[in-house]
Amino acid sequence: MKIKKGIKQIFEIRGMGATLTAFVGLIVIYVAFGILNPKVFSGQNVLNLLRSMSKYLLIGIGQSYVMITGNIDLSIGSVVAMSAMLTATLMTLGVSPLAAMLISLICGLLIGVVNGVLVGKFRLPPFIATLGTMFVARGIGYMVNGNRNTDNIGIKLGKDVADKFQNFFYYDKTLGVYNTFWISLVIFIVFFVLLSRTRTGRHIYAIGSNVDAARLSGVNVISTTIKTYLVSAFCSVVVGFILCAQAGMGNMEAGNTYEMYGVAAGVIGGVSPLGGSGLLLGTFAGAAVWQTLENGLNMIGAQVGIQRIVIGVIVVFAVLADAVLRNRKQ
Amino acid sequence: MENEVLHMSRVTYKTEDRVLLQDFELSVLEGEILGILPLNGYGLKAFLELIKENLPLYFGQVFYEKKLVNSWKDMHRITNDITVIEDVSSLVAGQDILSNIYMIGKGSDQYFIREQELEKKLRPFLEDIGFEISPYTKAEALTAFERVMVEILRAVISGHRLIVLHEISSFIGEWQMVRLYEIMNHYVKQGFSFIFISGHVEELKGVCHRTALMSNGKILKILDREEMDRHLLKIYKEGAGNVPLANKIEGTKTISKNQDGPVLEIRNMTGQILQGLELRVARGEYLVIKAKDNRAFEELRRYVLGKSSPKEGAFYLNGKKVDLTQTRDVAVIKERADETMIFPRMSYMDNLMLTADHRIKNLWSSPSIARSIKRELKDELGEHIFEKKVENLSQKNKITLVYYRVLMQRPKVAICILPFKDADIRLRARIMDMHHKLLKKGIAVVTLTMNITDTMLLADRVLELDKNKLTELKIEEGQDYGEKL
Repeated sequence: MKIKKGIKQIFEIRGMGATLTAFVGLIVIYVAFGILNPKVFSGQNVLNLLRSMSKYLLIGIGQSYVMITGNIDLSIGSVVAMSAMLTATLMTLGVSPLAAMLISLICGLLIGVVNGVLVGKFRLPPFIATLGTMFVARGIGYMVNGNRNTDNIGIKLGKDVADKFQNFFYYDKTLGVYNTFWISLVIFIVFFVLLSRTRTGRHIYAIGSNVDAARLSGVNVISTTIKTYLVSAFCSVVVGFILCAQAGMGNMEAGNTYEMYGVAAGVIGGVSPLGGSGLLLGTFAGAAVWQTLENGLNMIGAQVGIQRIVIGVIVVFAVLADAVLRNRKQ
Repeated sequence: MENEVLHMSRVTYKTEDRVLLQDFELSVLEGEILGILPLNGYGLKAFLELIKENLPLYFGQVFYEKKLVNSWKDMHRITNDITVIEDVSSLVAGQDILSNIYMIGKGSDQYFIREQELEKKLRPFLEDIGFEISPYTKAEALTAFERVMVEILRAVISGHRLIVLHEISSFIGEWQMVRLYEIMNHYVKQGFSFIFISGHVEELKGVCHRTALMSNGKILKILDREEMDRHLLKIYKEGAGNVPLANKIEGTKTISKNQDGPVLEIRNMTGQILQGLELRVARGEYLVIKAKDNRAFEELRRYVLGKSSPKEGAFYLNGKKVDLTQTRDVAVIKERADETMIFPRMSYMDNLMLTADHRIKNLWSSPSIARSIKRELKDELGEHIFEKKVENLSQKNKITLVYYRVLMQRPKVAICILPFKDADIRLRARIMDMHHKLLKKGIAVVTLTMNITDTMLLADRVLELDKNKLTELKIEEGQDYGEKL
């Protein structure tokens, strides 16, 4: 009886239905691909999957925070590029990785503040405001190294320092799992707690649910909106570090269309693009579904075009399901 | 049927799971003002949609201008030439009066806009009712009263023989209502008909030839003018009778009002209309601000909601300047709180506790706090309500939720903007009950309203807001609840 009540309570958590559906979908997809190609089940593939999904998970966390307030952040991909290019360029100039990362983080967070102020304070449509910062951040990414990709990050720092940086973010394992996954997991847990167990988290949901009522209830809409864009920028900057570590250099085109991957991860996991609902656990499932699809389609030899179409269709269905459910409730 | 402009015969209308109108019998005669007094709001929206849109019927027939326009046997789905005027404007923003009446409405069959010609056409209609306004005024620049007048004119010019006015007094002032009645009577003489929907008996008594009592999607009774006085108050009281208002309200005015000094003040508030407005609200008092000038009221409403700032002056809480929307010491409750103040995609408990986190430590991180709040409130709110989805709650439960949120917030002042807007009799009684609860907790309540009748039971002071001043109206002691209503 108690177990039944417990299960009922879990299902009654708003957004849990969509989250569990995404997890069930994940298992189905994974098993299906595994049947088509048993290598999908191999330990190394699982490790690779976890590492690859980490980027989408981080991007998804940032975009979900913004989407729950009913907004969107189109600058994510460009902030990823800016972060990767800034970090790499500074390291090629001999700046220590820590200092380079700190400078990139500050620049990334600045973009987040600008987004938050434009949307929260000046009430610009988020699509337009972040479209502008998308171009600005990408432009900065281009300019920092004179419109070209950087050299190897160890060129001045030496191989040892560069390796340490690359291993920490991408190539080393802890407890048998790639660090990239652990980093994203820690960030996920921090932001999960922030969203589900704190005042700020409730304010984020309140803004997405009814922004006028939130304001009248004493919620500081401006600062809360800025906070969500800061989370988004922070996650994007970390993904920039990961991409920089993966390639050992800065790539101007890094993070292209990542903002849409973030939307997809969130939406597949049940985060409503209309705001007010969704769980970060769903975003986790969404990122995993996305990566498993990409990985599985690769493993069975599907063309890139097919991969894109399948993923596109799934995203549309996820949003359609959300819209249909809302209409039915109304 | 000879002189009927609208006739609804045994109409039953249902959606997938609910019967919204049942055996609905109503007829509106030519040149008549028919009042509808909704004892509750159930089915009212469906009624308004049905007479205009001819929604598919489960049973019954609808005749408009002597033609069968809707029947349970077959579906026409044509729209009837009926105008419904409500608080939300149906005029197109960005377009002037001429365009709204002649180009967007059915006032003219011209394809090319010839403004001077249209102005010539419009002028006699304006003069006919003594309505002075530039035909080139944009829709968004109109006051609420002007907007209603333009919508009536558009209806008349477009040849709509039936005009429905829905809760007009919730957004236009008292003297404007008097003017509106004159204009309605003017058009009645020309054969136009009106349905006047209001939850206020005295409004219906003043203007309607007959009044229909509506409850739970049914017309209970139709009273003519002579019968109104005799029956309405009785039925009205019965309508509100199940709400534990009347007995609780007794003794309200004995609640101690601390007169140490004002808790909330408006000092020298100056804007477009308001000029040096001053106001002092005492601790625990029930203050009613009634609008005389609609524009001044709207301006004050904007400042309270934080939608704009006055050129000079500000709100002060305990002597310190304050942004009303950014302090938990003041709660602002907008009109139609069941829609505007609810967070539909958050849980009941999240809705309830949202503004209490400054008072209760670890509110969001400790589930035991939520459990203890549930235990504490289950007798008042109902044991199973906490698990329900907020969007599925009844209007009354949503309103209750909003006010309990404020009770948990424990502000010093609660400002309620048009709290009775679109509320039926039972809901109005519930809202008064909630106001009473606020007062019992020592929270001062400031009510901004167009109509003071509902608030008279609790009011310590009633102020009338004109352009630049608030004039205190005298409250007569010892009046009966029913008489005041």
